[in-house]
Amino acid sequence: MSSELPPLTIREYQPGDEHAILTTFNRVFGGVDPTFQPRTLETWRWLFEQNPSGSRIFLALTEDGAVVSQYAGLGQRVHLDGELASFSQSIDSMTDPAWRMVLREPGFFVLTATPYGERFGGGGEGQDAFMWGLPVWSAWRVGKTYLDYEVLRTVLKLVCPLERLDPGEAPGVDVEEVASFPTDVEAVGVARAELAGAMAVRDVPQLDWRFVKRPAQADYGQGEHDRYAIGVARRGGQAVGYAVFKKGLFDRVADEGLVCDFVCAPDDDGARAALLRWLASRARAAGAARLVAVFPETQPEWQAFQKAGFHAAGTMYFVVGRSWIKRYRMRWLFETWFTTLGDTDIV
Amino acid sequence: MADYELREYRDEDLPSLLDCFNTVFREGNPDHVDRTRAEWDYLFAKNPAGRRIFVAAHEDKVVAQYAALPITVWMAGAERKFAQIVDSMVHPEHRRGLKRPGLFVQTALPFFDAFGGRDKDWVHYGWPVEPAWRIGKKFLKYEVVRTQTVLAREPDRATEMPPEVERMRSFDHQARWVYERCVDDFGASAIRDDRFLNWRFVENPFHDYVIFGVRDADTLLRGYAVYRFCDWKLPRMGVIVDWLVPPGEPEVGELLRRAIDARATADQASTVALFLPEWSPWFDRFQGWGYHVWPTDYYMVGRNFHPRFDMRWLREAWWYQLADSDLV
Repeated sequence: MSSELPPLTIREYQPGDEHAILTTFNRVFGGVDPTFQPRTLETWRWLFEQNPSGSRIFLALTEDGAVVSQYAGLGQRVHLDGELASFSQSIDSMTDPAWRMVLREPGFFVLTATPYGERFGGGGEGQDAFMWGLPVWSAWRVGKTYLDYEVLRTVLKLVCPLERLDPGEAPGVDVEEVASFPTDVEAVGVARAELAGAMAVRDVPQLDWRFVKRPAQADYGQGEHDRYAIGVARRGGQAVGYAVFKKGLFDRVADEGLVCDFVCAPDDDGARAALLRWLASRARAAGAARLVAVFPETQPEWQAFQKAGFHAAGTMYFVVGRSWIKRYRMRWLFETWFTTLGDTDIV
Repeated sequence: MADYELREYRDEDLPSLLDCFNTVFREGNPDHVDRTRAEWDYLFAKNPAGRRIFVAAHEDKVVAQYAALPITVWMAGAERKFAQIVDSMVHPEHRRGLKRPGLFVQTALPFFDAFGGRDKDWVHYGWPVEPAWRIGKKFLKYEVVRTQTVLAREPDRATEMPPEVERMRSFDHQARWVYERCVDDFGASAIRDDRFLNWRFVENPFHDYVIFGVRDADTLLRGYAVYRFCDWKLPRMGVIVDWLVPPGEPEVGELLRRAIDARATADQASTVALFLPEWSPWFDRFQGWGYHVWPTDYYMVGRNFHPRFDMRWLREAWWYQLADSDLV
């Protein structure tokens, strides 16, 4: 660091920092997005304090406690190769614009990200085997140069105008719309995870945190259909799958019928058909003309959705990451990691 | 440590270069057929866009190569050059000849200095196997353009060959006219003219290709598709290696689609497959014809030498197909 710089402290988050974080966050993102709504403390606490999988934050602070830079991540407990482990999605990385010119290369972004990686990357307790994100291009350029980021995949979406949807028959399967997740969906997630090399834990605390307890302010909308709707598919009273719907913006397109999460056994054609029918009815009610989903093209849902009428299309997104455990190299994750839109903070 | 001369290829290198090539690619591959002088001439001497070869020589013999097949590209209002990296190799007896980075990288680095730049090749690219990709990423500044997908489905076996479709023996100047009617939709694309297409498909000593064309009442070429029957990702595949039809002429595409299906059915092909950029209208049109999008084991990677045209730009604007590769 340049000797002319005022003294800065680079350290892990401490309780009470959230006020300074929000001040900088709202200034940084308010300055680049005219539609930006300042983030509230309630939303910050939901994101970083109430996530059942935890969070990680490193900060660069001035002597008077102002946040110059942040590198942060949302924890994800994952089923990884048959064991429980942790990933994290890097979000909300920022540097106060007033400080960007002070330290040009490698910049405060790198100065906070490097100790963050050293502290939280790895296979130990409280560490993440894999850190990933969907960066803007400028963050990607820095990340690949200084932080060993690699591209995992360029993201495609699956799109289906409602009139093209051909979900198939769903004999004996009913979909119940619920306000919060029932406990028997947990077994559905565990069973699906057994077929994937890696998949985020979908237990009730995690799902309720992600889709039920999310503050309305975080949804960037207040309408009835801007909230998540949850459908649970049951056969003989037992949960065999669930889906989460929301109308919203994705990939620069407004009012999409978003399949925010979708979990059932890949070979359970009836459960999938029932959930797709429910999603379509939800989309019609919300005034969305089509359904949009994201799955890795290496997972069986990718083909099953195409058989139901979805077409693949490009997106602006690409997933990058850094694996901290050698055997979980990027190609392995590309082939085996199950994700949906709900794994991201995009929707 | 052995002494190596790192330099551009010279004509007198060819015998030892071919010896090295055949030694390297014979390793672990019982089906390897030694590359001949005629085949090398086709790839590197007769390519209408030129050649790019750097070698490491030890005691006057080639023991490593970093090479590329250039293509002439229309981009940013002028002809540019891209080059596909192919046939990179290090003789097994010299793989430990230099400390990290090894001889492979040491041969590649001056290659980039010689051929990459704003006044030289704008992009080097390829579809490397994973070990080569890891080296390229770490030492050679390669980046992912896209995780490569393929469009594929079984042939429509009920389709008959449309009489309107012509089996072409070669390309003439009209190929360029078709290309000119498509090029405005492409930010960058290898120029499809008779020189390139005849070199790539008609004079090719490695493979036989079938060329289908559709003409209007005045016999003007409206679109074409190049097909090859081969074992590639699956046995007995019918591969659409090149497809050039103006998106606003779906009836031409439909005729060519039927011709490909009929030919693939006659070949008893298991699958018909092709690469297309996902931003192309044809990407969705092929899905409308029942094709599904599948993953492949390829990263499509590149290195740009003009800062404005980075991987994101290339992903969103570069029209390439299997014809731009040496994969089939």
